[in-house]
Amino acid sequence: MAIRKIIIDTLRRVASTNEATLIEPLTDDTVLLQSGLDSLGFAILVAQLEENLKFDPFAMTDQPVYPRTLGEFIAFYEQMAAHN
Amino acid sequence: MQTLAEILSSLPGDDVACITPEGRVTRRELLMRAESLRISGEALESPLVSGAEILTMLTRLIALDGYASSILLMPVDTDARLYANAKKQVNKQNLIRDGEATRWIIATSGTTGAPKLVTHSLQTLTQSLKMNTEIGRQLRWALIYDPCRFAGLQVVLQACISGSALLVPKTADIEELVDFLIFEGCTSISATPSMWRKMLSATNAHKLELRHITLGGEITDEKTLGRLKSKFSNAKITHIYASTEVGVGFSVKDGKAGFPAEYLKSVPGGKVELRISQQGTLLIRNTELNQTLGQQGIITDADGFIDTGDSVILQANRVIFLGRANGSINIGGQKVMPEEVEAVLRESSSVVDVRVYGKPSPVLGNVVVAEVVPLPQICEEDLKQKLFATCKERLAAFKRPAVIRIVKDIELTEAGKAKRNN
Repeated sequence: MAIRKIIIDTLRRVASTNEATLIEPLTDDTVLLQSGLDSLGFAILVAQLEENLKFDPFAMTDQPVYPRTLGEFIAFYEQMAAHN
Repeated sequence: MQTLAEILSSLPGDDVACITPEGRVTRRELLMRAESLRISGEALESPLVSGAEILTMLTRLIALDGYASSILLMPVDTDARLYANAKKQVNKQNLIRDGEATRWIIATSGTTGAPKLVTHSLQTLTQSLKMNTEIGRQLRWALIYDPCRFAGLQVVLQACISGSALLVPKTADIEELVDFLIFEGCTSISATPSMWRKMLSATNAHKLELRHITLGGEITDEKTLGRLKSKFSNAKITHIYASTEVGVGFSVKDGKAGFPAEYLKSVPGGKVELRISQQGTLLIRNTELNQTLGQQGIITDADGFIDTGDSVILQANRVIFLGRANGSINIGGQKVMPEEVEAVLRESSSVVDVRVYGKPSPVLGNVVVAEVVPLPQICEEDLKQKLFATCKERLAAFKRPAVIRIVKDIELTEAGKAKRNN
């Protein structure tokens, strides 16, 4: 399955189990901190993505990375998947 | 106080004292081995006693107690620095002086913090044990713990002083272990709740004919107590709270988790006193010992109470254990007790065992991760969804597991406790 689809599916599932309402529509320009998911939700999203994708891109880089938009977040995962 | 050799000499020599998969040894044989160790002079060469080979250990304990100045008990997973330090303290092994008791030096398990060394004597180590040899001689105690740790040493000494046989399995395979205990007629087992849950899952566990079940070393939950009660209806079930530092503890026999709030006024037996600190941790004091003497690195308050580091709450006339005060998981500044989350997950009838720990997160410092051992033939995905739903209902958002992993087994430490670090 494409990484993009896994990320968006997981994002929706985390939002629904954590009583968060996502600001629709989700696009590449959606700013993560304004998407409706709080920082706990993002921590859960990253942890669940690691379970699904078997890698944590944040642990793979020496530089701190802070994706701002959903597009940047997906691109970061796609880029690190290539290194994995 | 009699020495260990004197106690054993007062019991029938032909009784089997120790049974391993390799064979059995009588009490007389053990005493003779110890005697020759003393005569040869080897007993004084080193204070170190290891539990790797049980007969060697028993022989050395019998030879050294009341004869040498110190016994330094060395668990399998010895912390090298701790023992370098201990050996410095006991640099020379000497014959004991008149009127003195042998010092038994033992390490705390250090489940979450650094292990510490504490000094005991045979008297302090045996003061909460049963001495009735008429009953004792009918019993066979299983040695599940490392015999050089406090809980294991209690089992070894309980068997020695009450004349019971000690059964020593030599396998980590739970099915083989349980089968050995059934074959050898085990009547009594002391183990951690984590270890009990493993043993309960063994195919032949129901064939054990147990008379004494003891739980300790971790929080004892009502579900595990209930499973033990229904499987072993003839057994007396006791959960004990003991600490290596204090040397004694107290026991609870009413089959419920925690302990009665009256214990804060008076503990049955009167050997310990209990209090709750302002930080909500349990404080304990041995009323028969001056705890401030001779114990390094153990902090007591002005009244001689030791802080156990176990967080407790008072709930409907019961004191309930929440977990280790320094074992909490930090989720973006909010503290989660892994034991609280474990208790909620363990309530599911499809769950055999569970372990909760913190996993580093780039977003919040940590997230909560749960490992769950399901009953056989349970649909993993359904179980995960059910457990997520239960947590959502029962726990604040930051306490809920971010990830639930289905695993075959929960890894235990050498002390038989669920591993707390990732």
